[in-house]
Formats: sequence, C-alpha cells, structure tokens
Amino acid sequence: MLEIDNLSHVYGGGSPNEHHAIDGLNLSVAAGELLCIVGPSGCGKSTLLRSIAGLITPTGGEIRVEGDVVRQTPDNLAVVFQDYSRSLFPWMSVADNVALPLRRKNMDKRRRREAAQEALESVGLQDAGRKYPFQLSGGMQQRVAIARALAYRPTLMLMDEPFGSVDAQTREDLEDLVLKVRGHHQMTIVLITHDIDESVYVGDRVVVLSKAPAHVVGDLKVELPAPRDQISTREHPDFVHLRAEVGRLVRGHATV
Amino acid sequence: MAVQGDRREVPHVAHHVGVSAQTLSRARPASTTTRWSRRAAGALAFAALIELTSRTGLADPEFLPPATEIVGRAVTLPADPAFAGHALTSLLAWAMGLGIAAAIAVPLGLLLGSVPIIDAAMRSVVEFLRPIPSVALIPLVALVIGTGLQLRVTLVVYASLWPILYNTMYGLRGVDPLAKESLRSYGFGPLAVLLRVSLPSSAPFITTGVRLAAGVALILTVSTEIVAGRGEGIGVFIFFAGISVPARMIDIMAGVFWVGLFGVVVNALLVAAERRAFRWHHAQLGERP
Repeated sequence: MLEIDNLSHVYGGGSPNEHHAIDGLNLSVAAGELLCIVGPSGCGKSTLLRSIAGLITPTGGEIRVEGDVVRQTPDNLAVVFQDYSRSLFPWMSVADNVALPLRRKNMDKRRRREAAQEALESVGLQDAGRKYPFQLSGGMQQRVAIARALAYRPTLMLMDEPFGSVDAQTREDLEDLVLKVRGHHQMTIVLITHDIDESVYVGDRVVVLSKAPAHVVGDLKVELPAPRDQISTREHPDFVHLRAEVGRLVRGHATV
Repeated sequence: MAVQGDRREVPHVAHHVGVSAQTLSRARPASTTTRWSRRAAGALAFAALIELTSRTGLADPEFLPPATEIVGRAVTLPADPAFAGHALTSLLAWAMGLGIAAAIAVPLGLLLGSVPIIDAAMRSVVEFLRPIPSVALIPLVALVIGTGLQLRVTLVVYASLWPILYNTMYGLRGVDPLAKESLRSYGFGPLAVLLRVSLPSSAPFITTGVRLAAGVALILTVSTEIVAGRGEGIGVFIFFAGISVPARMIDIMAGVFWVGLFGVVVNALLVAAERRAFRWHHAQLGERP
C-alpha cells in the first residue's frame, strides 16, 4: 500500500541553518493497516506526513502509494491535521466543508450533499451540517475534519497528531471514533502522535522514530484483544508491556 | 467623512499587526442602540454649535448660515430638477468609477499577491504611481480625454484602485498556509486553491478595501467636478454657487451636506454588510488568543 525507501529531507540545504529532518527512513505499510508513528517532538514526523501527502518534495529517497511514486498529492488520499480550526474553512458551513473535496470526484451537487451528510452521521454530527465551524467545540470541529476525510472515501488516510488540541475526554472519544470508522471503511490509516499510550491503544502496529534526523528505531506489532476499550484495554498486561517498550524506544533517542 | 475611522476596522488591520487590538475589540461598547444614539447625539451637538455660532453673530451668517437653514435648504434641493440632475450625474460617475476600480484591482491584487515574480516586476511601477495625488492628474487627463463623464470616471478609478489593490494583496498574505494545504491535500491545483481558499479567506480585507475606496471615490468625484467646473455634477453645483456674486453660501453648504450624508450612509451600509457576511471572520478574531 505504502512504501518508503531511504527517505531523507533537508530544509535549507547549503545554508548555515540547514536542518536534516529525515535521514534514511524505510517503512512499509500494508493495505488496511492502522499504523501509528511515534517520536519525540520535532523529530520530523510532520515532514514525513507532508512528504507522503505530496505537499512537499523530499530531497532524497522515494515514496510509493499503491505502487505509484508520489510526485504530487496521490489520488484517494485524505489528511486530517492537528489544527482543525485552521484546516476547516471558516466561511463555509460544516456540510459545505465536508462536501468541498468531493468536487474532485465527479459527483453532482446532490450526491455530494448526500455523501457529506452520511459522513457527518458516521461521526455523530448529523445535525451540525448547517452550522459554521466556529459555532462548534474543538472536538466537534475535529470530527468535522474527520468526516471530510471519510466522505472522500480515501484508501489512505493520514492523521497528523489529530487529537493533540482537544481535552482528555474528547481525545478518548475521538480515538474510539477512529477505531469505529476504520471498521466501516476499507482504508489504511497512518496516524502520527507523540502520545505513547495513544499509539498503542489505537494502532495495529507502532513505529518509533528517532529524534531528528528521523529514522525508524522500533517497529512493534500490537496484538490486543478487539474491540479495544478505554478501560480494559489500557489495563491489559500486553498494553502495559507494549507502552513501556515504546516509551523506552522513544526516550532512548530523545534529548533529555 | 466617508473614510473616517469606524472602530470596527481596527481588528482588520490589527489582525496582522499584532495582538494589541484584541483588547480594543473586546472593549467594544455594548449595544448597537447605544452606539447609534451616541453618534446621533454627537451630530446634534455639532449642528447646535454651528447654529449658535451663526445666530449669535460670532461668525457672519453670510459665510456660516445656521444649521437649521442649511438642512432646510438641503431638504428642498432634491425637488429641484436641476439639482437632481447634478446629483444623478455624480452618483453615476461614483458608482462606475468604484465598480471599474474593483473589477481591475481585485484580479490584479490576486495576481500580484500570488505570483511573486510579477509582484517583483510590477513593484517599482506601483510604488511610482501610487503616491501621485489623483487631483494633480486632472489637468493632464482633461487635456487627453476631455472634461466629461470619462474624466471623472478615470480619476475615480485611478484613486480607488489603491485601497482595493493593497487590501487584496494584504488579505492574501494573511491566508493560513494550513488552509491552503488542506485543500491541496485533496489534490486541488493552485488555481482552485486561489479561488476556493485564498479569495474567500481575503474577502473581509477586500471588502474593507472597497469601503475605503468608496470614500476616496466620492472625494474624487466631487473634486474633479469642481476643478473641471463645467457640465453636471454636485461639484459643479457647489462650484457655481461659490463663484456667483454674491456667493450662495447656503447652496454650497446644502450641497456639501448631501455629499457628506451620502458618504456616511454608504459607509454604514457597507459596514453592516461586512458584519453580516463575515460573521465567521469576526468570530475567528474573537477566538484568537
């Protein structure tokens, strides 16, 4: 589904401030997998995500999505950013926000509207379509951003610290929402987070990155009983063991 | 007059300048009714001052007629077909000039604001043209194209371009890169991003530019008419009231009254339209820490 070969990216190459964000990163993600990428803050996680999305062109290496080398934004890809208040369009109603990307899909207006409503229902916001983003809470705005991605029916959904800006309770709800929607939609999800517990709770697999320049320092399979549950999963001995393992890998490579 | 500061423009500018205006917008006086009654009180007090100055003989009533007489004369003017003709001609020049200016400045601003190479190439031309006072161009333009409607419209267009052009470019500079990336990540190209993200996101700034330009356009309409001194227009009406012997001061004042009132009303309507259309923008400003 997604292959990353020897990826590297340098910001401001040649200048005195040149910054090696990623160096020699290899990664392969299978179709239908929910992969969490963890790493210390500032390690180049977002650079990796933007490279996969074709928003920036990496200075070295190659990324392939469904076999095609990424040169611009791949088709059937959706991104959910951390900062929902900036990634939603404040001048549009919630329904219009969700429906807008569907213009790329050759759908007429009525079908776009139906698809948007359906996506809003799947994130529990069936009554919010006519509202504007600023009239919703932060957690609800992020649900809208997720609905926008779902409506697009992506085969690959990238999430960049999607729950980094909401409170703890909302965060748990949104984690469960992601687990729920992946069951209904056939898609591969790559979720970037700096929260170790979250990566183990949500992921089928957790990849740990080193501090910048980022490369893979750990790759763990998460085999926890399904369905996952905020209370029982988190007290499961395997969960406790895995989060300790991931924590050691993250910490071992973080600057203290 | 029309260009005068409304406190609600402050956040538009401060949005980019810094945080300081945030406190200003929070401290906005309570209700619309209070605000309007304060304004009305201010206008009445000013009228009373003119009235007193004139009636007491502090100023020669020949030169400063009492406010009640000015307003009395102003009220009768529209019934005078000659004055109505003057007013309509001015209105036409104003509206055409402002419309053409917006039709040029918004696309030009989008172009300059989104293509850095063209911006760099045009910069020196723009910087040279902008400081030229439009009124200084009246004799030149009059020689080339005559003194009719085309003179007024040309100068109104020239003067009104700048606020719209600059606000468009300014608005574009403030567009959130993440908003653009969000649309790009769904595979939309640069033109779609410009029209679907950058343009609506800058719309509040562009509209403020149009509102400022509406005031500039009014100034240019009337001053071009006065300088040209012939044909029709409120400026022509004022000009002839001024050169007649003895000068008809009451007509000058009544003409000025209408120009001022028009400016105030247009400004208020545009402010109200901005508030309605850009609720999301104001909500966003209020939320920013």
